Amino acid sequence: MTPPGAPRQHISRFRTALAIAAAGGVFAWFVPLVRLVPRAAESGPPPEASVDSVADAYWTGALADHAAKAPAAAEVLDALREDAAAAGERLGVRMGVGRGFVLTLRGEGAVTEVKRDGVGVVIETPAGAIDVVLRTGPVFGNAVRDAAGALQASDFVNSQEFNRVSSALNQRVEVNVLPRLRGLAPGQRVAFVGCVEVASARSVPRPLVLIPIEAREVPPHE
Amino acid sequence: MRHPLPALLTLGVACLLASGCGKPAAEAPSPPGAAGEKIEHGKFAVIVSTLNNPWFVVLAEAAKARAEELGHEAVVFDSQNDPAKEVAHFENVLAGGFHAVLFNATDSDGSIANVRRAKEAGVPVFCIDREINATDAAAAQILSDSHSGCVALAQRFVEVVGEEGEYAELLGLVGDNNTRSRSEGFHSVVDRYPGLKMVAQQSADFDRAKGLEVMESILQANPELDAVFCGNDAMAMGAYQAIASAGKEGHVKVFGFDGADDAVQSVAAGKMAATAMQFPKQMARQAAEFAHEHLTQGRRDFQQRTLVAVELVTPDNVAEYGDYGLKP
Repeated sequence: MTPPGAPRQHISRFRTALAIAAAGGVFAWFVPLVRLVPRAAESGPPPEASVDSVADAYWTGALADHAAKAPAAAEVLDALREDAAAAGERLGVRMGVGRGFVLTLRGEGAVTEVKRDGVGVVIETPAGAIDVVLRTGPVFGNAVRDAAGALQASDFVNSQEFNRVSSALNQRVEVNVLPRLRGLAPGQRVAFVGCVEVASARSVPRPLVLIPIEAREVPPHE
Repeated sequence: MRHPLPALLTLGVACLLASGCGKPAAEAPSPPGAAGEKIEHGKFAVIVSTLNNPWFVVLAEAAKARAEELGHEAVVFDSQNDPAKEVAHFENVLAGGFHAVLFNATDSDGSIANVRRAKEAGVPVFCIDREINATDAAAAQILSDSHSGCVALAQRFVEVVGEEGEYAELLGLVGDNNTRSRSEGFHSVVDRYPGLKMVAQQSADFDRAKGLEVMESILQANPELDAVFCGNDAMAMGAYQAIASAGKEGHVKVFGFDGADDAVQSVAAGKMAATAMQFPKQMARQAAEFAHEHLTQGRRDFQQRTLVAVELVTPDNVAEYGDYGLKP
């Protein structure tokens, strides 16, 4: 038999629990214990393209276009001789902050000597002979990456990724271009497009040592 | 009849959880300027990884001086290479009404949270020299191109040491992107010459005293050592000291990185073989100028990363360098 007053106690406990739950809900509304944020709001930038895909796209795209427009060696060397700083401003690509710049130039000439790390080439021009060296040893530095001015450090998650693009491009030079030069002998003719990092206008190396990004032997009858 | 209390408690818990959905986090009070208001005379915090190294003292002082030249107050905070101290500095800065932070991080990953917290509080952070591995935290990062600098240094290393020999490497702080960048840049060249063998590689934390201690041990274990590459000039000067004490100066070639004044003088004196100039004053000044433009002109379109070229310093060109930069 249910004792008298039991239903009223039941209702009273119910109201108490409801009040506690409501108070807790109101409190938590103003002082949330957790915050659930939709995944989209926290998503960062899209995943970076792989270093190899960036290098491939640059090699066949921006760099190839840049090579097609490269000035003649005579124009570049004359400009450097006249005023190296002005030549850097007009013909070079500057990346970041510093005195250095990257030059790209095209030429055709005769092989004068073949050394372990480079091939000497003389280019005959109306103003006289120009000597350059096409590097055939291991390729280092950022000349190839920076030549076209198309890749920026800010496009990568950190500078290490940016540097790996340089390594990937240098490797493409070693695999795709240098083998065409290693079999050359003095007297043979070669056509090329090459790039070089100049550390400062005050210290332009002579002869220029170019990293070839395009090269082919020119047959004698051509 | 089932007891209603469990259901009501469940409802209460559901209310607690639901209260966290969709409601934006309580916003911290915005510092003056955060809403785009221009500030002509602000307060800059210069938070530097350590003042125990003269190179960073130059960095901090140059940042402070340029900020003051531009009309702002600047206070320098020394993190003592301790991420916990760096966190405390950021807390003080955000509570202290600073308008911008010129920041030299202790850890490329660990420091990101500090920068994000400042950003969320409306205080822009401009990183100097040391990178953080995030593209959406700092307002801008003005960084030394350490990797490229070490590629150039390593090519000089091969010219001086030759393509055969034994060498050691002293690394900087673990967790610092500069440590990795410099070592990777160096090895990207030297590892192409199989005749050059690295017989020891050890961290000396970018510290001169540790460089001395580590070099002493390496010399004892490797009496035929030909050269040592050190990830900064402080370690290189310590290493040179150890080499001189062992009577091996001239036999063991020392290569550093930074362009610290004592290292440049050492190169000029024919002691150290080469170093690389990082231009700390230029980086610090650029960071202060960016912060100035942010506050006084509302500029926001900074390149996330600006790389400042590092220049090789050898006996051939050392006369061009001094006082942590180019001589006038």
